[in-house]
Amino acid sequence: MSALTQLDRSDSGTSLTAFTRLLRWLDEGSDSHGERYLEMRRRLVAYFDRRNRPAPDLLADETFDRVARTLEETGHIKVTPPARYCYVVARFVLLEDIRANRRSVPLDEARVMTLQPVPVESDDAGQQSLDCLARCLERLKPQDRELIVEYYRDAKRARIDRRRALAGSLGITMNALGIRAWRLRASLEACVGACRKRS
Amino acid sequence: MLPRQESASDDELVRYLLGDLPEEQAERLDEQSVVDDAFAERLRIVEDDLLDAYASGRLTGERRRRFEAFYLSSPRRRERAAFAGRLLQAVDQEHRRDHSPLAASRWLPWAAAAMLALCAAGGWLVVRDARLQTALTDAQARLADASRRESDLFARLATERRATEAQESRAQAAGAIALVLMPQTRGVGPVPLVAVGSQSTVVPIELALEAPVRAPYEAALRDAATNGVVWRSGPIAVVHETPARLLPVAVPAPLLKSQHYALDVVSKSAAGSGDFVGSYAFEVVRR
Repeated sequence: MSALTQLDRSDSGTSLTAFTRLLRWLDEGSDSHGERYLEMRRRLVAYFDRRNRPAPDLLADETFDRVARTLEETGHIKVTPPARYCYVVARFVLLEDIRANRRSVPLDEARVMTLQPVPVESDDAGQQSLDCLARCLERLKPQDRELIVEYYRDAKRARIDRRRALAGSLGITMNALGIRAWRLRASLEACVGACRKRS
Repeated sequence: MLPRQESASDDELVRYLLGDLPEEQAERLDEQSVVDDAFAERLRIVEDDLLDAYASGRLTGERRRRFEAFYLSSPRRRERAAFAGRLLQAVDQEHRRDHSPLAASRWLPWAAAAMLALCAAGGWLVVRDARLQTALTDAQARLADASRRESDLFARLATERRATEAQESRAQAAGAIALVLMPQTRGVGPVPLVAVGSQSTVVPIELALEAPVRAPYEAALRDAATNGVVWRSGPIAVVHETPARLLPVAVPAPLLKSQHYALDVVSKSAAGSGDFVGSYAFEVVRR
């Protein structure tokens, strides 16, 4: 599926034209078919989440809306690369969100832990997730399934040696292997999420 | 390409993920996690390893306590931790299934059937071989021809693309200039001139702010002759902080005639009222 088909910005204040301009600006002249936008959104969501904001997805979208408005109003943004400008805007969005919840909170308080009881998943929900994961694993190409099984199985010391051997057999570096495994894992996480919503 | 920053150790990244770094260090890594592609990928791998260590019980002591107190305080991260546990369980099951004696016996009937089919097909293929050889030679010649044509097309396409990109970058460069206006003072000085071409659709202007930023702002274009407002910008939330505090305003070019104008800027409060920030005079010359 093309990344563009996954882009749903109908809930945001950004018009289609402004959104297209935003995608082009993020791509810096190349055409990633929306991949760069999705990647930047993942990073922003993770950033707001690490700062313990309760709605990281909304804050990431708010960041993009502001960037898109600037692009629409001025036609260009001088700061490069685009990711750096996104971070600058995201930092403002973070501070405003903290202030909106509580006046005059210093930035470092955003990292203060909020001790909450960790909800335990019910047996039914756990089994449903496992079933979904098994189905999603089945859908992977055989070589990808083999890679993820070899990469993650047996979480002990021998795993490092096994990964090194796996990277050697594929003719890639350990770092490249890690990135490939992470992408497969991310696609599995997304697949399980969608499967659980359907079930 | 970003300038290379001092590389953080895996231990530092784990402490960052556990909210255990001093604020200054954490902010530096925050920025890298958004801006630096290689760092973002490395951080994800370290995070996955941390999740696996927790799920497999290898995370112990203070790290485990910190993980449960800080990392698991977010619903999104809790979900990721639960997924890590399920993934380890699933891949171990998958590995056991693929390497069990039962797995081999499951394939035996299929392998035998495949062998029989191969033998039958082999005999038939020998007969067909000679005829196919001739057809193959023809096909290879056609393929080579098609490949040559494809290479030519790719070369032409690349040339066209380069020409289009060059045109676009020239167009962008032409539109990327903004006039910076300073606030009006009592002193008498020359009023900045803005030359507007007949084809221009927008005139980008950046207004230097002297007071601290109190976004959102709104700019109103005032006709100096009649003192009437001819255009309003709507809310402007972003202010460029470097090299100075600059408020970007895009004035529609068709509204502008050869005469004096002023841009009046107000800071909008949540209640909707506006505090006057400054007035920026300029003269338009149409070309």
